[in-house]
Amino acid sequence: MFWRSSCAFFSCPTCRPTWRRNWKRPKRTTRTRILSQHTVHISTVIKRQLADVDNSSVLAIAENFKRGEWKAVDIVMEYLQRIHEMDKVLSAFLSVDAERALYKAQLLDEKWDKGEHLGPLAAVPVAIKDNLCTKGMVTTAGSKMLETFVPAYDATSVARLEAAGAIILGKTNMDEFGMGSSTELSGFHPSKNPWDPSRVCGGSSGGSAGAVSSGMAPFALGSDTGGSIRQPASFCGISGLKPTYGRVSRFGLIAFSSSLDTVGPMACSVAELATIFQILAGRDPMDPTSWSEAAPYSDILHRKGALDLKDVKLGVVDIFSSSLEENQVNDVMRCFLDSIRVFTKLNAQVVSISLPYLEEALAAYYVIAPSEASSNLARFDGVRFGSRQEASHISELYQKSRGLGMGAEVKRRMITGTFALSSGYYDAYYRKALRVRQCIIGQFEDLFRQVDVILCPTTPCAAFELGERMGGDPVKMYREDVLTIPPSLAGLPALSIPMGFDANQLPLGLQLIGNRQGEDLLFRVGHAFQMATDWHRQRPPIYRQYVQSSVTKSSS
Amino acid sequence: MMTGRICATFVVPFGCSVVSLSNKRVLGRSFIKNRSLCLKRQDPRMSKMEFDEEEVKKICQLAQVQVSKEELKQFASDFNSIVQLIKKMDRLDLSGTEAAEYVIEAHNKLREDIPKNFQERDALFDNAPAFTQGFYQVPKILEDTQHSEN
Repeated sequence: MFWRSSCAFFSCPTCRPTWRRNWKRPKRTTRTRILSQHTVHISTVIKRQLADVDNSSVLAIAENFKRGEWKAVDIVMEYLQRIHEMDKVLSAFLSVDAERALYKAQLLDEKWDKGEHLGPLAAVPVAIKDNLCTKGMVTTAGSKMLETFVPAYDATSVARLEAAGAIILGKTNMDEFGMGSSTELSGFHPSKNPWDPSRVCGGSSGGSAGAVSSGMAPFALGSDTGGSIRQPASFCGISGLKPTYGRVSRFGLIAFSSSLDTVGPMACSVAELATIFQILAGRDPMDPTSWSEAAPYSDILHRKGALDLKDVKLGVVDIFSSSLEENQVNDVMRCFLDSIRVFTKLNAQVVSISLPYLEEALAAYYVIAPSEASSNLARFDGVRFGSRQEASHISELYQKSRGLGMGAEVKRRMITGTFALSSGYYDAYYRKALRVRQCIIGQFEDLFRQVDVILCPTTPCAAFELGERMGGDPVKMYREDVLTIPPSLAGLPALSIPMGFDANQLPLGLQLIGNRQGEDLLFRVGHAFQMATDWHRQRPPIYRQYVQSSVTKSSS
Repeated sequence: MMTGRICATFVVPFGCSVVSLSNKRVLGRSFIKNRSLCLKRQDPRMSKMEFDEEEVKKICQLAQVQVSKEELKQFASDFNSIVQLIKKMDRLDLSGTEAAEYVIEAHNKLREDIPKNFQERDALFDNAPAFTQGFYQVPKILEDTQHSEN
């Protein structure tokens, strides 16, 4: 039975091992030998144990591996099996490198046998968003422009995870170059929401969110420019962190908007995010915008009295007076008010505040981000890398390669950015947007003198249907980010955690915004909320079906 | 703004010649030729709120992106609605507010001047669509007066 499933596994196009140029094949072991070392009995046992929510967290997997209860190869095989079963429905992954993952797993098993030092995330599989460079693995940023691009180096965040022992399963789907809020704007195919595959999983880190939510990976890396980690985390019912700008290195991240981009983790619970964040954060000499004097991160989650929030002042955004659209679902209000009640029970002081400049922040973001994108994407010209079209002259080469390689949304944003930066309009648009940004930064500075953490819903609604916001007015899609954009503009850390479900059983997210370098307080407040509720422990139907069918298959 | 094209994160130390046009030069040449755009630029406050296909096409040329006729129609209407959105910034009173040029207080960090070699140099060239004898091959660059306007 094991052999049959493994043969099917390797003939699956998603998980067939990919061959990479210039990669030296390890001489010692072959695929067959790796598989032959494991029996039916062990794979079933680990399947049952990993099906349990408590056992499949990042910390539990690392713990179980270090104690010797599970082998790294078994863990990786189970996750690859999940990808094989579920990704044909969800399409969260763009590429899966089974051979590389199994090879690393075997190395870790050998290290464990010899008793060598293992990193804090040893044997924990991870899915990486496709705009982070991974050495030897195709990195497309969701675009046909980079369909065959293989980076020669790892991004710093990827390198740090690898050094900590994490095993990369594959690269996840995303909106092209990070531009979009639904992952429908990927150059390849849309990704589906695990809670309802007829709906979007959010964007632009939609593939990562879908992978974590459906259990295809214990955690994932995403990138957040205007809400690209928090919004898909909210739509898929998981937790996602956008760190303070500069706290996690951007080296190796395919740039979209350089003053707004951040790299952050996505996982099922805040405790896991805290562990991963400690590994990712830190000064990087390869990124000149990374914080040099970073505040030392204090692991306050496990301190005594951490879950009692009596010394924490929470600012609750009065969403009735904020400029949100009128047809806001009552479910969002209901879940938000319930969450505030939970915090009150945890003894936090709750203060009502208002964020009056939401529309203006949205406008400023949609000047600054496209402007920076038009500059950053100028490097994709078909000369040194990327796809190239036939042309008789250099300008024609640029225009054709970029015209055919990039999607409509990317072109729209480049047009907007080029216009906003062009001579004569620079002051009226870009410079003005920078002044609006300063206004937003000042507003947040004033608010953080009164409160410690700001609370608001992550998105104005739950996941919408595939195709609902496509075509017609692009601004409809832009409005998804209205609540996530202000902290991005100010460079503040923000956390999105599940806060409930709407009438269609779709997850809703709660956003916690902290002061600069205040991730430890965010984790403390988020962790306290998750200890008092169990929204983060819910799993989508597709995952429950997988667990059911695999357990019945093994017992038959 | 765009002053030239630079490699994403690495500067290849030596040995290969990268020939690329600075966008600014193309910008300059296009502006001289297109007088209607010049007039608009002189007084942006008088510029109309509506942008037609011709103007969007000129911006596409600045951005060096080719768009088809159907896309151009769609982009013209999309661009107008985006401009409506970004006009909302005018609602704020920004007198006395400086432009936020830097998000963090970053200063140039110096390091010792010790040269390092990048070991994976050949892997960089593997990604090139056309590469021969240490050069990236591109089509004709000079004699481009007719071609750059197309």
